[in-house]
Amino acid sequence: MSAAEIDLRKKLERMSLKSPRPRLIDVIAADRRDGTYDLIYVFHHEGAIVDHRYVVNEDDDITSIADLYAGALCMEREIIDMYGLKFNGVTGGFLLDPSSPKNPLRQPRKEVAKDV
Amino acid sequence: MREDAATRSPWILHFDTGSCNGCDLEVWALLTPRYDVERFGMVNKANPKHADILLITGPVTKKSEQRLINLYNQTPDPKLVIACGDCASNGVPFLDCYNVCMGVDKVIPVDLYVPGCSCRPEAIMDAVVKGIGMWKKKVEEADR
Amino acid sequence: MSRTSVIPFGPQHAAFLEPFHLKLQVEEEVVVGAEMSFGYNHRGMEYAMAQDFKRTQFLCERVCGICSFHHSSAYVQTMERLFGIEAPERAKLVRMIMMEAQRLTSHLLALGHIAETVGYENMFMQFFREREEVMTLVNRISGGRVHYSMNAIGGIRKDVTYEGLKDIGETMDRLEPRLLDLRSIVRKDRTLRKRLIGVGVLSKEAAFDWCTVGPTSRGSGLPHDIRLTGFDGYGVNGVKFRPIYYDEGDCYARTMVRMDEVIQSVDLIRQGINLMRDGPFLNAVKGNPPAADAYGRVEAPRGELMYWVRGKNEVQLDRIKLRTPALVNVPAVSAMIKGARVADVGPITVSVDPCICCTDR
Ligand code: SF4
Repeated sequence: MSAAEIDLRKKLERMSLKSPRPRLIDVIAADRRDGTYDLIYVFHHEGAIVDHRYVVNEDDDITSIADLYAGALCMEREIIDMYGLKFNGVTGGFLLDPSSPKNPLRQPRKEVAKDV
Repeated sequence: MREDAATRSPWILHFDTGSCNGCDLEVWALLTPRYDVERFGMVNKANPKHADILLITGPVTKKSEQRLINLYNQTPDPKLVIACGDCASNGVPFLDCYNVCMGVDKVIPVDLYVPGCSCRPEAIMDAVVKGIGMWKKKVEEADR
Repeated sequence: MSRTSVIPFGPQHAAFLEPFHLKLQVEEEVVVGAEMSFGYNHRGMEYAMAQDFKRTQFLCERVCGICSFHHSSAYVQTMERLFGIEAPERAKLVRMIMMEAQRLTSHLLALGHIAETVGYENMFMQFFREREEVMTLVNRISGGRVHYSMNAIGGIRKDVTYEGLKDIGETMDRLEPRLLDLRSIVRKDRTLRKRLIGVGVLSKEAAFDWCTVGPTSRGSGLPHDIRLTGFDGYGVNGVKFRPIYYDEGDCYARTMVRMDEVIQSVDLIRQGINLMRDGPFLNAVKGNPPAADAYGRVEAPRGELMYWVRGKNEVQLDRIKLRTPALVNVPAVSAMIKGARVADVGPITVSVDPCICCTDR
C-alpha cells in the first residue's frame, strides 16, 4: 500500500464515521489522458455534496471501501470494467460481456505526454 | 382445424434486448384497458415454448445477443418476429454506443418493423394485426 | 442438514419487465443467498453521451424511458451550472410540472407491477387505466408519450400554452378522486397486505449501508429527498413540500410511499400551475462547455439521480457520469431476500422498482 492509498483510506474512514453519517452517492472515475485517473468519492453530507478527489495510477492497488458502504461494491466493479483499474478484493465483469470491447472509456493519450 | 384455432389466438413473447424501456412500456400499455390487445386473442406469455409472435425491443446488446438466439431457437415454428421501435429496427438512437449490435435483424430474421422512438401503441397494434395475417399464411404453409 | 440448491431467475422472466439474472441459493423454501448479474442492457451510454453536448440533450432521454424527463432535466441542470447561467422561473416550473407528471406515470407503473406480481390482475389493470390518462395528457402537452424532448440548456424549448396548463389542471381534477379511491383500496385490501407486510424487510442501518435512495430508503424510515435540496424548482420558490416516509422497511411500506407520493404529485402539479407567471422561458447559451466540472441532481421516481459532467472547451465532453438510483437500489435486494421464501422473491424485487436500463446504461 502506498502512502497515497493509506491516506485515501483513512480520510474516507473518517468521513464515514462523521455524524450524521454521510451518505455515499457515487464513486466516479475519469481519465486524465496521461496514464493517471481521477477518483472522486461523492458524499451527501448535511444537505450538500461533499467530494474527495484523488489521482491514482493505472496499476495502483486501490483499497475498496465496500466494508464501509456495501453499496460501493457495484460502483467499484463498474470502474474496473470501464477503466481497468484495480480494487483490492473486487472483481469486474459487472456490465461487460467477454465479447464487448475492453476498457471502453479509456481515452487516447495526449501526444505531449511523450516529450515530458 | 388447427389452423383455425391457432390463428385466432397467437401468443406473444416480449423480450427486452437492451432498450430504454420506452417501447416496453408501450407493449405493456397494449395489454391494458385502453388498447387491450387481448380482443384480437393475443395473450402475453413469458415462456418461449408457448409463444408464436416474438415482440423484440432494443438494439441487442452484446450480452443479450446469445440469449436472443436461444430464445428464437426455443420458439416452435412457425413463428413471427416483430422489431418494436427505431432501435430494434436499426439501432439508430444508439449509433455511437460500443456495446450494441445495431438492430434485431443483424441477429435473427425479422418479419415486421415498427417505426418510432418510442413507437406508439397504435403502431404496434397495427403491426400485430398485420402479423396475424402473415402468421396465418405461415401456418397454412406449414400444414401443407 | 438440508442441501442447498440453486434456482436461476431470468434473464427473461415473467415477473420482470427487463432482463436481469438472479441466482438464488435455496434451502428447502428459504433463500439463503443470492447472486445477481447485470449488463444485459449495457449499451455504453456514457461513451456516446460524451460525444456532442447538444445531441446529448436528446440522447440522455434514451437512457431510460420511464424517467426520461428526469434524465434530461438533470442533464440540463448540470450544464446550466457548468455554463454559469440560470434557467428562468417559468422554465423551472414547467420542468417541475412535467417531472411530477412523469413521476405519476412511473409510480402508477410500479404500483401496477407489484399488484401483478402478487397475482392481483384486477388492481394492475386499474393502475394502468389511470396511468394511461396521464400518458395521454403528457402526449397532448409535449407531443410524445415517452420522450418529451422539452428541455433545452437554459430553459425549455417550447412554452406551454395557457390551454395546456388548463388541460393539466382539469386532468388532475379528474384523476384525484380515482387515485384517492385506489389509495384506500391499497390501504385496506387483504390480498396486498397479506402478501406484502413483513416481507423483504430492510432495516434503517442496512438501507444506509447500501446507500439506497428514493422510495426504497423512504420506506425504511430515512427521509432523504433531493426535492428538498437539489432541485431549484422546489422549496425555494414557495412550493410546499415535505418528504413522505414510513418506518417499517418492508415491501408494503415501499408500496405505500409510492401510493402517497402519487397523491402528493397531483398536489405539487397544482401548486406549480398556481405559481406560473408569464415571462421568458429560455436563456440560450453560446459556445462550448468550459473545462470545469459540475454536479446536478434531481429526484427521479426511483430516487436521487446525479449527473457529473466535465467539459473541455470542445463540442465533446471530457467525461459524463450518471449515478442512477437503480444502481444502488437493485443490489440492496440481495440484503432483503435473505431468509425470504421463494414465492416472495418476485414481490421483493419488484418492490424496489428495478430499472435495469438505468442500472446498466
Ligand atoms: S426505439 Fe426509442 S423509445 Fe423505443 S426502446 Fe429504443 S430508444 Fe427507447
